[in-house]
Parts: sequence; structure tokens; C-alpha cells
Amino acid sequence: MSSPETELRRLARSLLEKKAVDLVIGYEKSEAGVRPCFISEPNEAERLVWNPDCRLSLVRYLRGFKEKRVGIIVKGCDGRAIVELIKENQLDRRSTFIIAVECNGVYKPVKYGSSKLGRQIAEYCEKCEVRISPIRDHLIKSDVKALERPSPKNDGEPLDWLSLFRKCLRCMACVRSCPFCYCTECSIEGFKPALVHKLVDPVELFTFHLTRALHMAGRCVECGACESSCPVEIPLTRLYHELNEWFREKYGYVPGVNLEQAPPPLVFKEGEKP
Amino acid sequence: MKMFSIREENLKVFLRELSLKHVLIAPFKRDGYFEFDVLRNPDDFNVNYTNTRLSPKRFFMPQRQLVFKHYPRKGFTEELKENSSVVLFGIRPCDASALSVLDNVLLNPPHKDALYENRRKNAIVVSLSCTKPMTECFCNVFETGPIRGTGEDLTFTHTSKGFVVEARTQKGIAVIGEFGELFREADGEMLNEYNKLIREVLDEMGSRLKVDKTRLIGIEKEAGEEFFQLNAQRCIECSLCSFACPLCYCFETEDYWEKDSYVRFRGWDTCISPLFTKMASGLDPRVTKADRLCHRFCHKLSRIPLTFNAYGCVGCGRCVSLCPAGIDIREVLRKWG
Ligand code: SF4
Ligand code: SF4
Ligand code: SF4
Ligand code: SF4
Ligand code: SF4
Repeated sequence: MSSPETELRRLARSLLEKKAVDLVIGYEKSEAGVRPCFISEPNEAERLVWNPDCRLSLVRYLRGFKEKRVGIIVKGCDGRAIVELIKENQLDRRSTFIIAVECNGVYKPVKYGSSKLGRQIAEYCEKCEVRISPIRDHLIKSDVKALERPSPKNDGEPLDWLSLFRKCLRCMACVRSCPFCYCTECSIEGFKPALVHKLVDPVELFTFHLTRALHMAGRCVECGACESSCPVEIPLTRLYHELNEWFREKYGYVPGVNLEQAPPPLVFKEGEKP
Repeated sequence: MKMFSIREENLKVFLRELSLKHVLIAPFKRDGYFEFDVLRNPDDFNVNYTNTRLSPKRFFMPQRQLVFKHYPRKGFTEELKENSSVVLFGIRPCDASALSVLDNVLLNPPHKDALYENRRKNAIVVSLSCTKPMTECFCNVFETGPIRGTGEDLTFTHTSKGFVVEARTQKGIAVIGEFGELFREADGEMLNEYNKLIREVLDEMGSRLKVDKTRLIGIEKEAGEEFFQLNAQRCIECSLCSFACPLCYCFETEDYWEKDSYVRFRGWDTCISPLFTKMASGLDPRVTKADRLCHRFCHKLSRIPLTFNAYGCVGCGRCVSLCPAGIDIREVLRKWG
């Protein structure tokens, strides 16, 4: 059996050769690690890589190619995001070729000036039960065995969110890397009206994060793109996970697993109370 | 300037005495990375830190800063003067050099920045040389490290026989004078080791990335080039690269009403943000992501050098490491340097 990477390259090449897609969004090696790449020539398919550093969800890039037929490489969580986006009417299923790669978890990024040594599987991957995209046109099985997952921890001590949010720079990396932050003007950045003051102030930071958290409840697929992009390592997915749990108890809804089940906020039921 | 030395065990004594007279800020390990904060106990200082995740820029240009308050009923406007004297200890040479770039931009008449000047002139900056540069570092390109930077008052370099201390400014000499009993003149043996160290570290860094920085001016002519379009595809337009950068200095202001006065704040902004050049009329002279990305690099590598006689990058490597999309200024340097 060939490695997932070889299979991936072969598939991307043939999709581009047959002109089944206009481009393939995947990952390539860069000097500092792995980064997104956009491939439109069959010969360039050799650049594609697949490894546990392919952490940034590529789904957020789909909104930039609405007029094109796009092949996209997805992990389990990324596929769930696609399911949810289709339900939110943000994605045309027919013009998207979904290449699902079996995912065994990704590593936490080791960032500038980190004092940590060695590689660690991301916390949100420890909780993941999906691993393979529920929606796909092609499945690539993995040949490596699952990364060592410590048994899912309970979340231990509640976090001090107030002091965590105080570290936030409002760089918007969390917002911009999220598949679901597709608003053309983010309510948190907008001028008319300004929901929060643009310049960072501790109270405004709290408003920012609560607004975002509420917009994520029952939608977030816990792909961790936000968290892994965050320069100050705020464990955002932990917060959204808790909201998702609450959402599941209240509405019996888990985002991204079932294309047929409508998201509760999009369904109007007569006599329903808020 | 003059070379001194201080014994290994006297560093803590020096830090303790400094902290009694000034607000002492130094790097700390916190949640798995290093960050600057007030150092209360010198034992918390660890010489073997890499560099801080975020740059020390915020001590001179806070992310949010009050400019003035205006009380309409009392009818006067109060301009804010901050007067804290801080010592930044253990800032890396690249970050210290970033301050000298900011000085060129912000302290030259006729556009002096009073708020920056106020903080800058009250600060003593002590750098600690890098003997083990990180893989992201490329200060050698801009001659802003790894042993000596350009914006510090004192440079400390760790050798096997204690620290070589170079006084770089009058302020630095004054500090040495203040704690005279702790410092001695550096002896020849120590200086030999010091010079050897400079050569070794520079050689090592040069083997990773070596470019002619003066050629970068030409990048300006390449606007709209394919390189930027390709990279723009992956840029997610956060503001992280600029916010992490030790010398991105663009700001915006915000006015609002607070209790009994109008207040004006100013804070970080960045040219990479799609809102940066958008005008009230809806017009936007820098429409595409590629335009903005190109602007960021042209400004740093061509326009700042032409206007302010300094480079807009000191090679700290923060943007390289933190960019979620893997956009890497070193590629720009290799291509046009
Ligand atoms: S990525 Fe982190 S620092 Fe940036 S806005 Fe989001 S939470 Fe704040
Ligand atoms: S909020 Fe974060 S974890 Fe959730 S879908 Fe968006 S990027 Fe992924
Ligand atoms: S950090 Fe990277 S993705 Fe974010 S704006 Fe800068 S170049 Fe673009
Ligand atoms: S552009 Fe990047 S490498 Fe250069 S000084 Fe700024 S953050 Fe550091
Ligand atoms: S860029 Fe140079 S001065 Fe800055 S941390 Fe790295 S080696 Fe040290």
C-alpha cells in the first residue's frame, strides 16, 4: 500500500489533469513547518504533504473560491465544518471535491520562544471522535497508527477566563482562521455601529470573546484552527466545547455530523419559546 | 564604547539593586513561553531564555494608550504625561535595535511623537546577547544582532567567565557608575572569548541566511508581482504579523465619551488589515490582499530605509514563526536581497 502522501499526490494530479477541479487546496512544506498551498498545475501536486503538522483547517479558504471547482484536503473536524457550512448555505457541494484523509490527531504548534520541548498532541484532538470526514468524495486511509492519545482528560480546574482574555491582542487570528467566521464585516470589528471599541481594553476583550463564543455555540466543530493560530495560546476550543456540550443537552444537536439534521437556530417551530 | 565585566554571581545582586531603584522589567517563563513583566525576585530570572513571544514594543507603544481627555464643562484639555522610569533587562539585541529604528521614525522633527519620546527617554534598555540563536532568527541580515544590537544602553554577553558588559550610551555609563563596585574593566582573555563568540555565532547564522540588504530597495519596483499574489492566497488577514513585530508602529485613534469627558485613545493598527486604507467614502486605494502584503514588505524593506535610514525589519523571526499561514519574510529576502 502506498503512503497517504503518495496517494494524495496521485489523486490531486489526476483531478487536475482530468480538469475535474480548477485547484486543489492542501498543505506543503515550508521553512518553518507546514503551510496551506493552492495547486492548479498537475505537476505541482508533488508539493503536497500530509503529516501531524497539517493543523490549520483549510475550510476557511473555500469562501475565496466561490466561482471555482475546488478540491480540498480535510481532516475529520474540517469535514464536519463543510457539513455545517452546506447547511448554512455557504458552500456549493457540487463544486467541492472533498478529499478526506484519515486523521490521527495533530500536534500542538511549537511557537516562537517556546520553552516546551518535544511534540504534543493537541488537546482538542484528544476529545475528537470523528477522525474521518463524514462527507467525502474520496477517502485516503492512514498508514500510521494513531498518535499517542492520553485518555481524554476531564477538564480539571475551571479556567480563569477573565485573565486569559486579558492576554488577548485582538489580532483576529482566531476569527480569520475559523471556517465559520464568514461574515463580510465582523460585528466585533464593525464601525456602524461599533459593538466594541476597536482598541483593546479589558472589558471590550470580554465582550469580544463572549460575542464570538455565542456565535460558535452549536456550530463550532472543534477543529482548533482558532486556538492553534492564537499567539498567546488561549485555549479557545475548550470554551467552545463547553458551549457545544450545553447545546447538545438542550437541543440534541451536534454540529457537522449529520447533513440531514437542520441546525436548531435555523428551524422555526410554532409555539417555541426562547 | 567601553568594555566592562561582571561576575556571574553578581548578576543577581545587580538585578536586586536595580529593582530597588527602578521598575525592573525582565523576561519570565509563563504558561510555556517567555514574556516580559516586572521582576520582583531576581531568582526568577533565567539567563537561558530564548526570546519573548511578544515583543517589548508595548512598553514604548502600548496597544492602547490615552492621548488626552477633554472636559467640556470645565473647558480644558489635559494632555497625558506618563512618568515611569523603567529598566528593561534582558531584551534581545534584535528587539533593542527595533527601538533604534523606532527612534529614527518617531523622534525626528518635525513629526516627533511626544508619547513615545516620553516613555523612551525614561527607559534604560539592557540587552542580553544571543549565543544560541533560534532557528527563526536572522538578525545577521540587518546587523541587528545576535551579540550587539543598536538601541540599547548596555549590552551583556554571557561568557564562560561571567558577563562582558559594553556601555553603549551615556545612560549606560551612568548605570555602570551607579553600581561601580560590581563592575570591572573586562580583561584581555575575556575579550578574546567575546570576539571569538561574535565570529562563531555570525558564521553559523550566515550559513542559514545571507543576503545583501542594500539590494532590497529594489523590491518597490516589483509591486503586483506574482510572488505576492501567491502568498496572498494563503494570508488570512489577521493582524498577527504586525502586532508581534517589534517595530510595526502604525496606529489609529478612537474618540469617545467617558463619564464626564471626551477621551482620545490611540492604539496599534496595521496595513495588513483590510480596514486600514478603507475610507469613509468607501474608496480603498489598496483593494486586494496582494496589494496589502506587497505594501507591508515594501514598506519595511524599501520605504523605511529610503525615508528613515533604517530597515523596517530586525530579523527577530516572530512573524515567521507566528503567522498561521506560514508567510515567511525570509523568502522575500532571498528573492530580492
Ligand atoms: S488569536 Fe488569540 S490573541 Fe488573537 S484575537 Fe484571538 S484570542 Fe486574541
Ligand atoms: S471556533 Fe475554532 S475550533 Fe471552532 S470551528 Fe472555529 S476555528 Fe474551529
Ligand atoms: S500573520 Fe500571516 S496570515 Fe496573518 S496577516 Fe500576517 S501574513 Fe497574513
Ligand atoms: S518583520 Fe517579522 S522578523 Fe522582521 S522584525 Fe518584524 S516580526 Fe521580526
Ligand atoms: S534575532 Fe538575533 S538578536 Fe533576536 S533573538 Fe534571534 S539571535 Fe537573538
